[in-house]
Amino acid sequence: MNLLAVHNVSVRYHDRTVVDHVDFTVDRGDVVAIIGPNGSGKTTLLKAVLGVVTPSEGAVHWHGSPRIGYVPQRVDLERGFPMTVEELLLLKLTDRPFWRHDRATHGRVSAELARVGADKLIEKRVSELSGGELQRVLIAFALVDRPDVLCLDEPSSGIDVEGEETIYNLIHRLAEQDKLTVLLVSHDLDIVFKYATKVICINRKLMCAGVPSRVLTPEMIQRAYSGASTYKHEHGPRSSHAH
Amino acid sequence: MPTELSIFLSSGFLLRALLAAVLVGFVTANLGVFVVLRKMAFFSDAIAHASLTGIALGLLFGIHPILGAVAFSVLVAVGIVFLQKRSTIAIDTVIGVFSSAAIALGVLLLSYLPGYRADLFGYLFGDILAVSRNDLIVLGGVAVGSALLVGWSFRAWLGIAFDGDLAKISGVRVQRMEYLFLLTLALVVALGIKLVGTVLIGSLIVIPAAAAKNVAPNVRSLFGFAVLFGVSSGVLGLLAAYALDVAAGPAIVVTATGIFGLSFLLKR
Repeated sequence: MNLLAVHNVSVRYHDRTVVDHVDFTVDRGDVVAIIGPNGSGKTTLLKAVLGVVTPSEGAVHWHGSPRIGYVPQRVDLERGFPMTVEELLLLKLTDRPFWRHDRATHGRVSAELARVGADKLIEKRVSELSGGELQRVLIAFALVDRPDVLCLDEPSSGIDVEGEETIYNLIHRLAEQDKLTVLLVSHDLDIVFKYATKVICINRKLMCAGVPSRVLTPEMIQRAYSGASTYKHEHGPRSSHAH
Repeated sequence: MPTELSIFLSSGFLLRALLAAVLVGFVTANLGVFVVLRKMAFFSDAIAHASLTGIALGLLFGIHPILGAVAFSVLVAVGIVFLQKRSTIAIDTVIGVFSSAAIALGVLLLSYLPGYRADLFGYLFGDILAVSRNDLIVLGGVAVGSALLVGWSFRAWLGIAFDGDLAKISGVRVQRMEYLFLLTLALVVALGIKLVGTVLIGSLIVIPAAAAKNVAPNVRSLFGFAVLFGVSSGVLGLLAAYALDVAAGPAIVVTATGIFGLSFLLKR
């Protein structure tokens, strides 16, 4: 039995088809990369899978009721949003009011952050974190309630190349430790070949699905990215290169 | 000055005004925090402007004007959200259209009222000195109700302010909580009309919270600072209005702006 079955899903925004009749399945323990050129509907497809966007056609079926953690590509915070990293995690960790948490809860927040190497950030404001720090904190936030599935949307966006490698290593380690099923949107084929057990390639429509080394042939990549003359791989301000 | 202060405190209507300023300052500051964190300052202004049309409709049809204000504000808020979700028009354009239209429609409808209406200026710029014992009871009830609502919705609204999608995936019923927020905002707007009027109530919601954000190191203290600034603006503004013999509503908003200026200088 598949953990996730996406049947013929289409998503339309104001008469514009963003995702067009996409089918795929995910098994427990898979590390699935959703790839495609810019504007190909990757993020929308992930949001349809998460139930944030309602498909205009087709259906998404989760087997059982797995707990799902989500790491968005970015958070659009008001500048100077004063929430600290600790307060963000407290939103999920406890039902008690913010001003009534004790030493033990503080310790739990610290332990959750330590799992992703971010325990030193506990007192920092979320709005003051660098791209890499924010990704770690968001991963810790996603993992607080011990999900079965971790979904990440471009976890390396806004991070330099070295930071990107570290983030993917972290995701890989956590996935193994917690026996997570991972769905991640990515634009980086190197990362896909290195970490993913399955790839879903879309350009509005499904282009291919399967084991990366089998389905991602040069011809397939050329076909999927046709129209996107260069396959831009954008990082933070310090780096930018093209594939 | 001590004699003047004792006269101030011994006169019933001034004391009621002071209590009203404290209540409204407390409630607007609490809700204002979410308005500021969610970048909805312009939106809350539009809701405040819409309340003028609601008041006019109330007066025309013999309904309590404050009830009319709440109902029409909610209607406009829902209209803005609906158009934002169902069209490609930018949100600031949608709000701009609704905000201007609401003020214009309100003034047009008010011109249909027979005879001279002395209380219209009060609806526009507040008439805190006219707060009656009954008004105070209603203010107190709405203040307690909205404070409980803010306490109950705190986590959900904060989660939505951080990231709506994350909140939804974490189990928050985002749409329901959004509408509850709009309803509370409309209630608080109506609550503040008596104090500073429809034209200035938006400022009283936004300014204390914005000042608090300048100095608060975390969310816990953000609410404390916002309430402190909201209540201080109300009390100091009212005392200043009494001392300088000027309109109380604008004096309260100018005081709040002064506090904002100071907080900006102390900004973290």
